[in-house]
Amino acid sequence: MAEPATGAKGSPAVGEPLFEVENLVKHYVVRRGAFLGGGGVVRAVDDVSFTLRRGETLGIVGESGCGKSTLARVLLRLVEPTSGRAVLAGENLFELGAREMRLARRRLQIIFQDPFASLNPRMTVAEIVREPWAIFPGVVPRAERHDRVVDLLTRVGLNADDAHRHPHQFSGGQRQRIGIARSLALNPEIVICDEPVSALDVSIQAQVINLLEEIQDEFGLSYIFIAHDLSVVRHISDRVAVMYLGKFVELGTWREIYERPTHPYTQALLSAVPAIDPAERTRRIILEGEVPSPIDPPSGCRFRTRCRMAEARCAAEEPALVARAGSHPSACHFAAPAGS
Amino acid sequence: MAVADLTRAGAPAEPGRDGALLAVSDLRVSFQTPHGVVDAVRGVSFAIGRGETVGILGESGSGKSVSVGAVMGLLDSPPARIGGAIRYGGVDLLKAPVRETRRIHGDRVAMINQDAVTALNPGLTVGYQIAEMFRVHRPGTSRADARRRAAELMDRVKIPSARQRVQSYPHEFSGGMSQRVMIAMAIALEPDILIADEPTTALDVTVQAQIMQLLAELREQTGMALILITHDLGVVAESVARVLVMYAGRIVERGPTEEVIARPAHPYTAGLMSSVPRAEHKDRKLATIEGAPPVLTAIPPGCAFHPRCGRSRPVCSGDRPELEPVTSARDSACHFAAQVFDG
Ligand SMILES: Nc1ncnc2c1ncn2[C@@H]1O[C@H](COP(=O)(O)OP(=O)(O)OP(=O)(O)O)[C@@H](O)[C@H]1O
Ligand code: SF4
Ligand code: SF4
Ligand SMILES: [Mg+2]
Repeated sequence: MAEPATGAKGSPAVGEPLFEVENLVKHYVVRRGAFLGGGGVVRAVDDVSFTLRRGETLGIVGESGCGKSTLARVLLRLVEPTSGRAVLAGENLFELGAREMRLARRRLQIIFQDPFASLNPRMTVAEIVREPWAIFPGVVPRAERHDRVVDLLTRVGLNADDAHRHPHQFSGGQRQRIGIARSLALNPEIVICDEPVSALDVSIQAQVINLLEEIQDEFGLSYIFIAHDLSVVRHISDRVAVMYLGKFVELGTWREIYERPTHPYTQALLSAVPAIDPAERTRRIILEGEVPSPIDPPSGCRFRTRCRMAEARCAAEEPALVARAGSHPSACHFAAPAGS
Repeated sequence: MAVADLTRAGAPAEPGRDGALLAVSDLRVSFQTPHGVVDAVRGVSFAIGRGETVGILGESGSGKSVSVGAVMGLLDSPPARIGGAIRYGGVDLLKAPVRETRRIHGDRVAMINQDAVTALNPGLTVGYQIAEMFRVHRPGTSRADARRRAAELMDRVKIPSARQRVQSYPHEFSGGMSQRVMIAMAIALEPDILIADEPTTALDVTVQAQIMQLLAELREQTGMALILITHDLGVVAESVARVLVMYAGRIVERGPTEEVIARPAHPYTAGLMSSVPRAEHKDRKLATIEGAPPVLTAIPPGCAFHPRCGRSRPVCSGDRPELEPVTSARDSACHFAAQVFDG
């Protein structure tokens, strides 16, 4: 599915298609659950497609359990997909053998949410940053490694002296910087950021967001930026996908999604964000109930059990994610700007 | 200084002593730890009047939870060392015997917190746990009556099919539904004050909207006062009339929420406001506050914010600024509060 190349935030860097994800599916078979009764299939990611362009940031938003993190893990093959393709530089990642996949990972790195859990407490910062070079010795010649570690640390706002300290001696924001330095060690093309700032306080969050934007321009990175904080995603993204129960329900430039959303779920989600400025406050759409279980999701449109606009057709026919209402892709039979 | 704040006539930054339901004065809490003494709360004073809504805003570790933990009598001492006074009615909760504080904690002043799921006992039905509020605090209540009222409360907090679900166990409830159960327990005895410590932080934004709406409706119906603790500026902006901003165990600014947001009088508040990503700043770098909050075993002398403050002058590391009026409606603890306020 090709979308028009829109949405560069004034940066000249957004370029050709780099990473094509097609019909990605990840189902988990669960056994008879402790409290849910029967077993079943969790449709964690269910037919997701998108194209990531060079230098672009694609934001992915959605509530807990919508499949955001599963999507990240599948793309890195930390878990195996059920079906679909993910094509990077002409290769479908899902068809690669273990050795080839290791090589491909050089181009595709991840930054996790929890800076506390994702760093080995027994290693020094220098060891953490240089660890990827053990697998890819060719990236930085041995003699240059020390200098390169220092470069990377200073680049992310740490000091050369920090190289010999251990993660527990750092604050959350600093640990996230260590994680960023490590992800840059292999000169990747794509960095998947899974809730990279959610564990951080607002003042520290801003520092890390600025850093991510700076290194993006400097290293020509493309980001898949997963977060539940809608303001953070708006700030950093060129395009945004909204996920609900394993599916993209809307996909567009940040302006299309934030200023002219056409899917009722996106509209409700955005209206729920508490606004600091009274002027930004819109009429709140309070959704009834909660997200249904991804085991046996509703037929037709998965949002229909909570949608104020649902009609008979919504239960019978699944709305495809296609351009609607004279604008960007939206998976709603009745896609329309709010209030129309 | 703390007491003076409460008696200052006609100062809208705080209700006068007469109007106050709960008055915290010069609260100090420290913890003995293997790494040294953690000074978690360092002289906090505030008061809340009947039906009022007050927010406590601050980043992780600023002392928000410890402050209200002291109010609720939840801190074990030792390790906590607690000083100051917390008055409710004529009672100093820090000095009164348990038989007196028991009539207040959980009864006149109730609390909900972030972790509703673990706050519930997994082995008991939610109906039983709500009914227990009556059994413990209103010993005359019959079992049937307590059970009936538990079902009513579940209905009141909008748990669907409340009548059937009194028999459910906590694991059958989502995070949002668990928080509703906690709210049902908290409002069971019609408290004068509800303290909500990050009640929606663990919840999705659409569920947060449901819970905040529920709290607003309940407040409307009962007239209870609300102390809302959060690190989310948007939540503060939408839900409380007054706000206290905390940094490193002290209140650094307080006043009417809208005014504080529109025109901060403390550099830390100003920094917080500008580090939130907003639509109009999309193409700009975010403003940041340099560095990180201090380690509480080694709080910088003078103004604790000085190592991170763009306005810092030599006086800032020498003299500690006290919380003083900038206008009749605003207090700020900054040597240069007037200049900050004037932009
Ligand atoms: N029992 C304890 N022993 C030692 N230190 C403690 C104890 N309880 C709290 N503290 C410390 O007191 C400080 C203030 O903590 P508090 O929980 O009040 O912060 P907070 O503002 O509520 O932060 P958050 O936003 O993370 O909830 C922290 O440094 C915390 O680690
Ligand atoms: S397809 Fe129907 S149920 Fe789904 S979002 Fe659109 S109107 Fe609502
Ligand atoms: S007292 Fe000084 S260091 Fe503290 S906030 Fe004011 S200007 Fe900044
Ligand atoms: Mg807390």
